[in-house]
Amino acid sequence: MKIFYAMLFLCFTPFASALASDHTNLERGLPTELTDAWVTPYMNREIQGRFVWEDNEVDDSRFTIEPRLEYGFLPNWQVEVDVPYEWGEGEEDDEIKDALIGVQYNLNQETVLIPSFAISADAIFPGKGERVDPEIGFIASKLLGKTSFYQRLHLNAFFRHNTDDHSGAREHLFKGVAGYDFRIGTENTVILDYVYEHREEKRKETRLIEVGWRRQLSPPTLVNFGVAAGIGDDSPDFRAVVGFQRSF
Amino acid sequence: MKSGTYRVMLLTVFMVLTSLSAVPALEQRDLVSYMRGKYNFEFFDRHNTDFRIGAALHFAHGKQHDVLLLDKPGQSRESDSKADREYLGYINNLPRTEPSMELFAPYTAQTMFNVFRAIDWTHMHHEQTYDIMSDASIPWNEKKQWTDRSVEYYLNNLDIPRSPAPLDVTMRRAGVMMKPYFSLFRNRYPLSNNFFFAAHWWHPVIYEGMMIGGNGAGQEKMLDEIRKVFYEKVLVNRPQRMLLSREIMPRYSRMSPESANIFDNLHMLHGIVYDILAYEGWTDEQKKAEVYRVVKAMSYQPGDEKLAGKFSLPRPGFDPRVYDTFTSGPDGEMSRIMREMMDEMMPMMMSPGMDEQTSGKVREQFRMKLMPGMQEGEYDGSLSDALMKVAPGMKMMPGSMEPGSTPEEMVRMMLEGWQKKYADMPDIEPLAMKSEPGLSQEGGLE
Repeated sequence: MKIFYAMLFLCFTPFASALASDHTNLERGLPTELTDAWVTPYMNREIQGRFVWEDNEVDDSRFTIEPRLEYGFLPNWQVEVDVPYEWGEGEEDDEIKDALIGVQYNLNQETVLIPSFAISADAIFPGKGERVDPEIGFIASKLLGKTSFYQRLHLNAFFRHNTDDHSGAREHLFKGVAGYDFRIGTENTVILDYVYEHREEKRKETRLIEVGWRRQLSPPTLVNFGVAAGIGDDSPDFRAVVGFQRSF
Repeated sequence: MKSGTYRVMLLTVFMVLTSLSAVPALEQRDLVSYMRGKYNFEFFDRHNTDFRIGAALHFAHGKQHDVLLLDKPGQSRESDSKADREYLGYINNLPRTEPSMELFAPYTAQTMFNVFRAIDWTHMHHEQTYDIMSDASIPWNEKKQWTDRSVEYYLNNLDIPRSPAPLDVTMRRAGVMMKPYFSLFRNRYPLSNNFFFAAHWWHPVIYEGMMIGGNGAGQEKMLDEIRKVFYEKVLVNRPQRMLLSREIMPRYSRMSPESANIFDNLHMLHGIVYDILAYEGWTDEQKKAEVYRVVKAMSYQPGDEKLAGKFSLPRPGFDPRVYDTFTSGPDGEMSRIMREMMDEMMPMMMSPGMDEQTSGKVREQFRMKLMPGMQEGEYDGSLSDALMKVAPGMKMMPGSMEPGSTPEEMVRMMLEGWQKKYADMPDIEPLAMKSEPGLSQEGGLE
């Protein structure tokens, strides 16, 4: 299974050249957890992928390969399918974990005073069994300042209902991300953010500070690199992400 | 987090979002992706340097909106020099990829996003049509049908595509000549204005180079030579007018008059929007109202395609490698269109019995206003400001001065004027695309 995913990931790795579709549209996990209120253009389709290495003092290292498909199925709407496959010393079994089918709707173009808002709804399949966790998200993005320097502030809030009712598990999981991205030159954007996320076990939270770099290689192709450092005992010590996006 | 807190947070976010519906003027982004075809990204792959020159020109186009909207009164000279240096910086250190307008003009994106939708969408059409011409696997006799397919996608998948009708028609529809901003950009930001005149030389001659070079190696040879002319001559001695497709890409204009007109209409939209943004007498909201009016007036309207071929070619055998006074001078098709419009408006605006001396002064100010920068004897301000100085009795038509309003009567008279002169002219003769040209066979010029 691991080999299958690795092959799939490599198949879509973007070293062939190939219209700017999504250069500035941030996606969850590519390369940081921060996303923005914009959605992919109507009729755009994109293959995305990421490789994640996470080091945790308690659980040791774990790895994830995550292919994704994204499609602008209606104006201002996108649908996304993610299938992450995890393995590593910290995993009880190698498995597909938290596969996701989700939609996001962008409500408005921002103005000088009003941010751009989006809402999302996801069905998450935690793996191992037949559970489906519903999640809704609220996203706000705002360009900053009366300036031609491209810089934005973002707030994300995701609320997930945990259908796993074993004792000690939370019923509701919250994830909040606050972040900032800005342009460097013509092809690069840098992201800085802070993540607060509930873990399933009560009284445990993940807190991360993340830095990401997105670089557009060619009109439809973007690569990204991110690192994160955990805060507190319940957070991973370190996370590194390499990802790509390519319109096709 | 407790369940109660969780519900309160959900409710709060829900209330914020529903309250957005109470804000009446919110727009949606409504972006649409490019058309898929086997030719996608061929221009990027085959003529990468030229692709990157186009991207650099588009960075400059994007940035100029914010330069003007954020400029302080009286700062135009400094801003113009600074912007020109920056634009030349892009040209000499080419970006790798094409930008969306908002990337370099985020303030304008927040203020009047629709104009960026119109521009980005037409840049997409540029990209598509360059790709089609670059793709050697598309036989020469199929170039037109692939281009027509792209034109159809362009016209039918966004609400505000540029019109395929000739600029002669859309300029009359826009009715901008007596507006208080007309000609301000070329007068107060001449370096940047002429940089864009150079950009509007570059785009068409690339098409024409491909039309002459054919699908084979002649295409590379033509584009190499055109690039040399751009850096060595055009940027150094920039054109003094906005060149039209029919002037410098006659062969492509015959193959796809619709596409050729779309590009003229985009290039003129750039100029008008820059004029509006350069005007200091209106608020950002008023500028938005006027920009949106012009974007709409110059967009595709049903039946425009039937007018696409109503133009003639000043030089059917134009060679894009030759940069001479025909190409660099101030007089051409653009000034002819403007003169005709002026003649059509004059009877409405000028009191009967205007003496010859005044009439001569009007025409002289008009001539100077069409040239970049300030000429000796030219009055400062817009064309209407200058005309009011030499002919104080001039009548301004209703809708001429207010943001967002159309001078209906003036537009009606100008369109009637066009109808009388050109409605019955034969369409431009289509170019036979049966045999592929090639520099090696015939020196490239038919």
